[in-house]
Amino acid sequence: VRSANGSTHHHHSHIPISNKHPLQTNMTNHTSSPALTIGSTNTNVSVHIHPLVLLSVLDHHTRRQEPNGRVIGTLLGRREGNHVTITNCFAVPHAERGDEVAIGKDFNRQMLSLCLSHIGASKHESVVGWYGTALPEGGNEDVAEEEGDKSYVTITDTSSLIHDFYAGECEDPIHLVVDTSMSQASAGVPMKAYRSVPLTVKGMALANVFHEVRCSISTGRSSSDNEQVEGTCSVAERIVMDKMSKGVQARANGGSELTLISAPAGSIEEESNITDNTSIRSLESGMKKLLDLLENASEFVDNVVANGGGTDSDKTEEIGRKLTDTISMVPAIDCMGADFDKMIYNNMQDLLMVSYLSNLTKTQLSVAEKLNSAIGTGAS
Amino acid sequence: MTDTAATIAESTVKAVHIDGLAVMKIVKHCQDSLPSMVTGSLLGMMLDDDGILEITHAFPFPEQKDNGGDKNMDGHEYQLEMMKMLREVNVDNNCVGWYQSMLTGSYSTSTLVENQQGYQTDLSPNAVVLLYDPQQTNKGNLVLRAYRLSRECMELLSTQQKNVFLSPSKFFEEIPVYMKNNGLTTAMLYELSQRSNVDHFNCDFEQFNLDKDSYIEKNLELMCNWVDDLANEQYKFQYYVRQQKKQQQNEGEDSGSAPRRLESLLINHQIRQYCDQMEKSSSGSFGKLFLANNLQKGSGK
Repeated sequence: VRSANGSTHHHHSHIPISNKHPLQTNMTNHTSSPALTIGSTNTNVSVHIHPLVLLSVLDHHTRRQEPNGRVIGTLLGRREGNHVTITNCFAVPHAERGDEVAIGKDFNRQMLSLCLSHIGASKHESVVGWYGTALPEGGNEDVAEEEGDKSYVTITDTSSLIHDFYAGECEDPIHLVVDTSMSQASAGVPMKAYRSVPLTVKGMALANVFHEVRCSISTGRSSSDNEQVEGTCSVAERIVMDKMSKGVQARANGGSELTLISAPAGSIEEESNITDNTSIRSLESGMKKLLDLLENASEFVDNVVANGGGTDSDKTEEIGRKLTDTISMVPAIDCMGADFDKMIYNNMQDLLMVSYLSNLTKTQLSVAEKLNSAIGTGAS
Repeated sequence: MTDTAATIAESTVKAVHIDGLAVMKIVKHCQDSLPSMVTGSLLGMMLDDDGILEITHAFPFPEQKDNGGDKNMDGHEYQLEMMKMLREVNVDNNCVGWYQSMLTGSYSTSTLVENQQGYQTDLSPNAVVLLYDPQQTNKGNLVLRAYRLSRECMELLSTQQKNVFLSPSKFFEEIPVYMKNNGLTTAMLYELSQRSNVDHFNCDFEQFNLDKDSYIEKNLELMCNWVDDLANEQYKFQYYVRQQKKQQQNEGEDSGSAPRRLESLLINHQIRQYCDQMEKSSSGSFGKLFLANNLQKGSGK
């Protein structure tokens, strides 16, 4: 158990002195006393979070033991210069009361070795920081539901202590806060990432300043330059998130809370599988969506042509360029020409052949099965 | 362990409800470990009355390191250790099955059958194996299926009687899989989808992709290999029968044991799976080709 170091500073996003400009400012700040120094306020750090981490944090928070107000855990990932990718995480048991914090250090070490023992040599994951959920003001006591908002704080004195612990585990840890308070002020479940720099007076470390850094959820989409942004999640993870989003939307429209993922072929459940992307139905809904988008775009263009651009001409120009780029990506095929017909014809032939072969094979298999069953129990 | 009569009386699992978190963990582990196949454990709970198996968590098994470092835990030890640690953070401490990545839908192997049999006898008759296919999961489709060995299969495997015939389709029993999320996650997802006018995760338009991915080719290639295997099994059997005839004529000793039937039955099942997959995929492509054709022709007028 480590106790607080007497300081009573409240650490919120940033102390006003460094509020000038989010770009790099270094060392001593001349507007204040020269003895007061803030370490490099490098807010160019950007953080990408894989969706798995968020799901994990929320799950951990849901499972917490009363009366803990919040939960913490370790973040794993990769760090490349100013770019941090958080790919995984695990929960760490902890207890806090007032100004005191107890962290399961042994647990952390053991779990870390377990988790890292299955990662192949190519994927290098290491500790990059820690996460915490929101803490109700006034300590840990889980006050019973009362009227009005309980106020929540996301960074507390104890956060500083925990952060110090993680500073020992890795260099410059990232602190991710997921606001699970579900209060009026926060819409949904917002999340913020922080870095901490020490605030020193005359060479003595006094407090920690938590600077917010840019963070975003990795969605697996490559950037517009068609370059795979380093550290994005895979397409498969995006598909899982898509299914979950669709499930949530279906539920909002009065469906059940369950999303069907798979069902045995030919069963009743399969008929009702609305999320199956191979069916004609999903093709239809996808086409409708695409049609809507195209209509929107065409309406926009008509407006611009009729009204000559309007107020925000820069934006309009940008959109215009993007539209041109997109449309120019459609290959120019002479659709009445012989080439196109040949292409379609060849594809059809291939598919027909495959279909025929698979039917033939299945018939063959049935015959083999019949013969096999007729042989009897065999000589044993 | 409960005796056979009691296990049959227990409700059998009819559906699997899996948390989004567990799905994500499985997908991430399998994707990161491509191109090798990997396995892991499933944690959760069985709800007896409704025959629902809930899966709330999943964790991977460690890789088999050949050079044997000093920290090289045995798979079983790892599992126990991991479950102990997870219990400290209130995760369900109940192993209910295992998962494996399958490449292009190949799962009908005797190793899988043996493993699953082990799980169903030692752990619970409701243990399931979740199979995730990293190749088929694209263009907006997620392929994650749950199987268990059917009751007849278990009975036949446990009776030491070799070479009894069982129709290949009766080996495995597929169980529908549903995904659900807890309240906080649902709130977050809802807010994400409402927040911006761009669907971050939307995969609707990927299905329009007409290019000939190598999926069908891969399927055909695998099918060729498995058909060869089936032919081999046939030869083995014919050889055995010929030997037997010779023995009978010469009144010699027993020619040795008959080849296992299990192999050829499993191969049969797998080839059928490939055929079904190809049919499904090609019928989808047919539809898209017709649409594309008519669309282009129509706009040309």
